[in-house]
Amino acid sequence: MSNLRDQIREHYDAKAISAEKAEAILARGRAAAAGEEPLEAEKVAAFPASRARAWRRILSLAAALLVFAGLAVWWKTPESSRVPFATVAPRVIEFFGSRPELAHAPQDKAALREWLLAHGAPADFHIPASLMPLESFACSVVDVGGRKTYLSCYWREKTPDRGDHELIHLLVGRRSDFKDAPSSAQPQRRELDGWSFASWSEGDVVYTLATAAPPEKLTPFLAWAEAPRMLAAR
Amino acid sequence: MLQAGYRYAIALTHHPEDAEDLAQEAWLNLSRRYGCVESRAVLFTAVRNLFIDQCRRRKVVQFESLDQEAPPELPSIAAEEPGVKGDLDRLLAILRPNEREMLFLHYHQGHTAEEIARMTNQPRGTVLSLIHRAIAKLREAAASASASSGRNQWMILFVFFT
Repeated sequence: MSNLRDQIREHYDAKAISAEKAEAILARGRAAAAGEEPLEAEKVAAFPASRARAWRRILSLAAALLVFAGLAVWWKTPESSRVPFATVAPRVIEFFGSRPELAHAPQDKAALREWLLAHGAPADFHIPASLMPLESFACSVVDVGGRKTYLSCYWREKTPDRGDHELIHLLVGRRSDFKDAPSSAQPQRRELDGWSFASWSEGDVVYTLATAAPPEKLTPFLAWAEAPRMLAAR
Repeated sequence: MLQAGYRYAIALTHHPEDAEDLAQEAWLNLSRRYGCVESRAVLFTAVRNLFIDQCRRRKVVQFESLDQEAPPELPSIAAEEPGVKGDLDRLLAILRPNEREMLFLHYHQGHTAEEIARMTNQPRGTVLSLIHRAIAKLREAAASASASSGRNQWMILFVFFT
């Protein structure tokens, strides 16, 4: 019996990788060294990596879709597309400051209403009774933050040398187009840059009376709404 | 050199297919990283590290530390250690991977205990202890197998004559 060293040498010397297999490993080693390793050689590492990439792609696509859907919903929500009602007053001042070309308004208030309806005014709007006796001056469609409002102008005074300050303007729009629009028939008053405004709602129609004069000039035209309050105050 | 790496891997795993995979992976890793396999020592280190990684992942083999058990001074290994009876492959199978590794590095590769200690980053005493323990285990297993074989022969004769 040989000694342990010989036994162990003999045992391990008998172990060898087959020539074909050894050549294949050496070839792959050469390819790996040259950076030209075939895909098969990286199979163990590449498979989970590609799966992770695929999952990352799917997740990022899903996240993008969610964000897009959220934006679409937000965009479609009426709240997001509504214009602040507070922009109406400055827009009226700006509109008249730009010396706009206005259409000549018919004196017949029914014809005037028809004209406004024909240009897209809300079907259930009406010209307040307090304005009916006034002389019509002009009418137009005014864009307020992308929403259409319908304007009609009347003479407050019948004096012969009357100017722009004697005009009173009625602006009609859809309440659903505006954020924070008055929700009741009780007029809300506002003053801005020498102009006076009073706004109220009836159904889905929001009305604004405006004049380039102190607020008391509007009062006679709001008596229908303010009379009950004055009575209550007494 | 690849065959040497494979034999070292066989010593660690005692499984031809696992050893082939281990040697191949170590070879390819070195080729990818350094463009070539510089030396046998580098290849052995790569094989060993890879094997330890695999064991840790699988948690099937534990390299137990012998630092605490190692006696202060162990006798050197006899140059002419007598051989063992029986099938060496089966006997080696009962050893731990690090015990087989020590036998391989010492008896097959011809490294001294000091060299193995440097290679495997272990104290020399641990290396000597592992080699002594491996030899003792081999002899014990060989004696046990021989006795068992003797008993089996007597059993066969007994059955044959009755």
